[in-house]
Amino acid sequence: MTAELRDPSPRTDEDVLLRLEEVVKYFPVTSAKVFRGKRDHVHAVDGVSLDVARGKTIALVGETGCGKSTLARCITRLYDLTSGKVVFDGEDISNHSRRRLRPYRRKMQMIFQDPYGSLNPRRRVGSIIADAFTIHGVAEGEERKAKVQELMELVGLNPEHFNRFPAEFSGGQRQRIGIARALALHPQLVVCDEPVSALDVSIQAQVINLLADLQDELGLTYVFIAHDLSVVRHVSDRIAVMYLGRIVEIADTDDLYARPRHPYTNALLSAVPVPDPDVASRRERVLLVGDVPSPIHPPTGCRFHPRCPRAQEVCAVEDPVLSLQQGDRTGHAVACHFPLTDGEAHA
Amino acid sequence: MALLEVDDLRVSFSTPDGVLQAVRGVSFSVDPGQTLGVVGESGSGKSVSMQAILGLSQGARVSGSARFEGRDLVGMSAGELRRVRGAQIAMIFQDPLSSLHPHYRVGWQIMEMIRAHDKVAKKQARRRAVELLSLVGIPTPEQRVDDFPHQFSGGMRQRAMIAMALALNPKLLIADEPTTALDVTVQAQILELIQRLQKEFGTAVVMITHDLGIIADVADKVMVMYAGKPMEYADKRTMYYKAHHPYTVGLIESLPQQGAAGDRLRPIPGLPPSLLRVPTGCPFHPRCRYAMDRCVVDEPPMQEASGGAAHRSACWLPPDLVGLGPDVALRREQVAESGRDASAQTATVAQSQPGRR
Amino acid sequence: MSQLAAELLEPITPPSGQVVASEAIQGRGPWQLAWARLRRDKVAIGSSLVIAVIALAAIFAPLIARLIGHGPDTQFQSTGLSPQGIPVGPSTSFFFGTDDLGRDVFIRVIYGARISLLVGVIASGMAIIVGVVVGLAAGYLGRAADTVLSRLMDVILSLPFLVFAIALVSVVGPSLTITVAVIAFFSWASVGRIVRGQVLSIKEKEFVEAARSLGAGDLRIMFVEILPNVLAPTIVYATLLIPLAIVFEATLSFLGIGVIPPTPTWGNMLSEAMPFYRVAWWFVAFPGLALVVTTVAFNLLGDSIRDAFDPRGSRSS
Ligand SMILES: Nc1ncnc2c1ncn2[C@@H]1O[C@H](COP(=O)(O)OP(=O)(O)OP(=O)(O)O)[C@@H](O)[C@H]1O
Ligand SMILES: Nc1ncnc2c1ncn2[C@@H]1O[C@H](COP(=O)(O)OP(=O)(O)OP(=O)(O)O)[C@@H](O)[C@H]1O
Ligand code: SF4
Ligand SMILES: [Mg+2]
Ligand SMILES: [Mg+2]
Repeated sequence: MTAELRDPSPRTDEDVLLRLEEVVKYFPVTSAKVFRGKRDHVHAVDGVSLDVARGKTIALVGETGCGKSTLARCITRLYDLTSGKVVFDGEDISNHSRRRLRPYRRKMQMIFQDPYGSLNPRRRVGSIIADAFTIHGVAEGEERKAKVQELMELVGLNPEHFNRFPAEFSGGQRQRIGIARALALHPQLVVCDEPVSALDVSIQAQVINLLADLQDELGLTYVFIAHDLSVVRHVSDRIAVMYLGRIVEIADTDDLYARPRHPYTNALLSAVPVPDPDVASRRERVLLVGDVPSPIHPPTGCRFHPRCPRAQEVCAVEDPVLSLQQGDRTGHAVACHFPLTDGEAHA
Repeated sequence: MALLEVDDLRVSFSTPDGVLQAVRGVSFSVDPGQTLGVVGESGSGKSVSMQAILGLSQGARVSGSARFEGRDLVGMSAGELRRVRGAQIAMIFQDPLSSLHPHYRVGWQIMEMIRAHDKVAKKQARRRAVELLSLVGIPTPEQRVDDFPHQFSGGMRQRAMIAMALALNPKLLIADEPTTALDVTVQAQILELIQRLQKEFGTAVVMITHDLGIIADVADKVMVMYAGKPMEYADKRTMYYKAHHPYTVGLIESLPQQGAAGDRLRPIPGLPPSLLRVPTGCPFHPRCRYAMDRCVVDEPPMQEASGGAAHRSACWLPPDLVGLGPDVALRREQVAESGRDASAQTATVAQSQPGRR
Repeated sequence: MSQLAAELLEPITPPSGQVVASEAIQGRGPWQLAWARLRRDKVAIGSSLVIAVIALAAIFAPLIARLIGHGPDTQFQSTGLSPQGIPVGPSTSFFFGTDDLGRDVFIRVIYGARISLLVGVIASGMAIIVGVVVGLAAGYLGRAADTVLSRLMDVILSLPFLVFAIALVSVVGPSLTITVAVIAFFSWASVGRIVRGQVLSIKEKEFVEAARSLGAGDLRIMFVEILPNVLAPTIVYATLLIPLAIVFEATLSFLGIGVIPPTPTWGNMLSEAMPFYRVAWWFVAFPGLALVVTTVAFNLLGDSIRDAFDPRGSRSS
């Protein structure tokens, strides 16, 4: 049943910082069932393979519950994997103990979705940002404070506010505090889990610009998670579209927008509201039927088939493999029996 | 005649920290069958103004008028309002999870809604509930009608809310961010549904959202709100292509542009103000690139702008300076320059220049 | 530093009408905010004053005794008892009257306050410390640790307090230390439960994950990240636990298995006064009143502190 889902596009000319091989993460379901039969599992991430090139941004998009955050936490090893490998800078860290992970904690960091939940409300901003230094024993006293203030300045916060509490900052500013904390130890990889989803448009743009500038300045590699394709277009070099724990399509950003192959990508693209009345009235939405199915019992065959406008009999039976299109050179891979051809995509 | 005509609506709350002016003079009108889009950042008073119209804002001081078919809703007795609510004006709330009662079956809740206004038999009400659920696209409604809300997904719950709202064929539907909690593909389904029903029944809709994309899709007219006030009011195309107010322009420009990947975004600097201490003059002036001296002192009134018919905007810039793009921006800049006193100039420029061009 | 920083630098203005209310509140943390609210609360001020008066009386009891010239155990056979041997009522020489042995009830009540407050503060302090540590560990570590510790707390909460206390005292004999130990032993489990419940919800917050992703260890997460967030409810509970411990102590002493006479405590005074309640109401009334006033004052203060930490209508984040 499980298909071969390696990232079919390991382009050797690039320097791979992070490689995921067949990452699987199941959560046991605590059900009210009295009889202990076969235990149910949430198939949160179900065989994801991915290469992330150094200095680049890869985006993960998909709807609620498709496993983006779970994958992010597998990458940063906040979760233990059910199976599969996380290879960081050439070293397989998927089975490292907490102690052996410590050096890697300095090299990869995470920015969280919720600007309210991700900062401890009872601690001062300065000490939150200084956490990384405290934990890893870097810098002391005045030097530490200077470093914290430098970081605050870097992300566009007033360094004099290091003594304030998170409640005194707005959502966008809190997100900056989270970014400063993540950057404290000069990580190579930053996993951003929906860093702007909770923010208003005018503030979203401030944070996106900040992330872009920091990447230029510090040579960061981003894994950028979003549920909305309009945001990631701006920031990413490459996009992986997820559906129910799997990658269904992966391509370079421009390529994906210009030539979506997977019917789900197409629907997702067409569903994003366009802030332009003329375009909006011209374009046709590809409406999907129904909701995302339960990840506890994912559909057989192609997981998208119950909602897919192109589905045929084979889709319900055979799981399509994520593979390159014929003659493709850009690493545009899709997992579909009947991928869209040029011109079939929505307007 | 307009179906709903709101004039100088003001809503304030007294809080331990002072009087919070959530809505500070909102006027608009909605015609039958028309969709008014209301956009603005979080906390700009969108929800509160609509709740006040329907008498749903508890503990608030409300003034102004909201005439629905000629009758003023502000100051109407609670009993009368209740008859209007549901039967003539329906509302869909922001949070689909909390707006259905968790302990009652979905169908029962719809039936109660019908029976509260219409003396019909239980059987008939139930038949109507099933009909409505199928109308909003819930599969096998005969069975789902007996489900509890938690057995529905978020999208289905929102559809059930819409079914409830439409139960009595209201003339006006107020939808407060009906899709914010939903995925884009489900959002597309819901928006399509609202539009279809609107066409079928000729319902007027007030659509509250912070997503300019949704407005571009569904609205006829648009009102942009900032700090409890309308900043600009126009038909949709005018709003997107011939905007006059710097806030509207800023909102549109801060969106990732189609096909312009890789460029820097152009955010609006700073943050929305606290409603406990609204800035003097134009409430937007601390964040405005074009703020002039008078903007700091005098509050601009809503006045005609030349983007299109019935285009109004609350900004001191000349009314003919409409539209997006570098040319207009330059002309705005020139006007702003001449409206600044030399000493004040440096201060405002420093304040309003956060991003590279 | 960088050009980037300069251009992104923006003035911090408070977020729209929510958390930060006015200039005056800026720059203050949750503790200061609670403190500010507390200072405006009349009930809190009143009950603190009452507690302060009682505490001062307790602290300076020997001094007061010396000033008046009545020791706590001095028996005034001639002045303190009527010729029939009946205690005398309140007067200018004995404010609260005398007891059956002719001792000054006022002096004994303020000496009793020493014991009551001491037991109340020390026993609840111990209970809080143990309860917080156990609750933190159970809630945070989960799995086996949680199962074991939660069962332990359940067992303690279901033990019959008095039976256990009587049994223990009959083995080791009554004393102040045993009293404190018994009260602490029976109080920490309820603290532990409350803390555990709080920890369970707090440990799911993203800031805990953030700390873990920085490489923080379990101890650091428990004490630096989670503890400050359970402190507020714990402080509230502590203020409510003190009067409870005082009542516990009074009960034990009343039954003769707490602090034993002649050391005066409100509990053993009440016990001694029982046979005389018809002839000498003051003998019962004043220790009883002291107990009630102290308990009520602590309870009111606890309620006020809770309100100060969690005022209605404020948006929690
Ligand atoms: N700790 C957990 N225990 C059990 N199930 C979990 C756990 N975390 C996530 N899940 C489930 O795994 C699936 C994937 O969740 P995940 O949070 O990764 O989705 P997501 O793509 O990040 O969604 P969103 O866009 O809502 O953040 C969901 O069905 C979720 O309910
Ligand atoms: N009951 C209330 N008491 C005090 N203040 C309130 C109350 N309800 C709303 N407010 C305040 O009124 C202001 C406007 O709120 P409103 O809910 O209308 O914003 P909104 O534009 O709907 O924002 P969002 O996009 O977040 O829904 C906010 O600052 C809010 O904190
Ligand atoms: S130009 Fe003046 S009036 Fe117009 S938006 Fe800017 S600050 Fe307000
Ligand atoms: Mg997520
Ligand atoms: Mg709202």
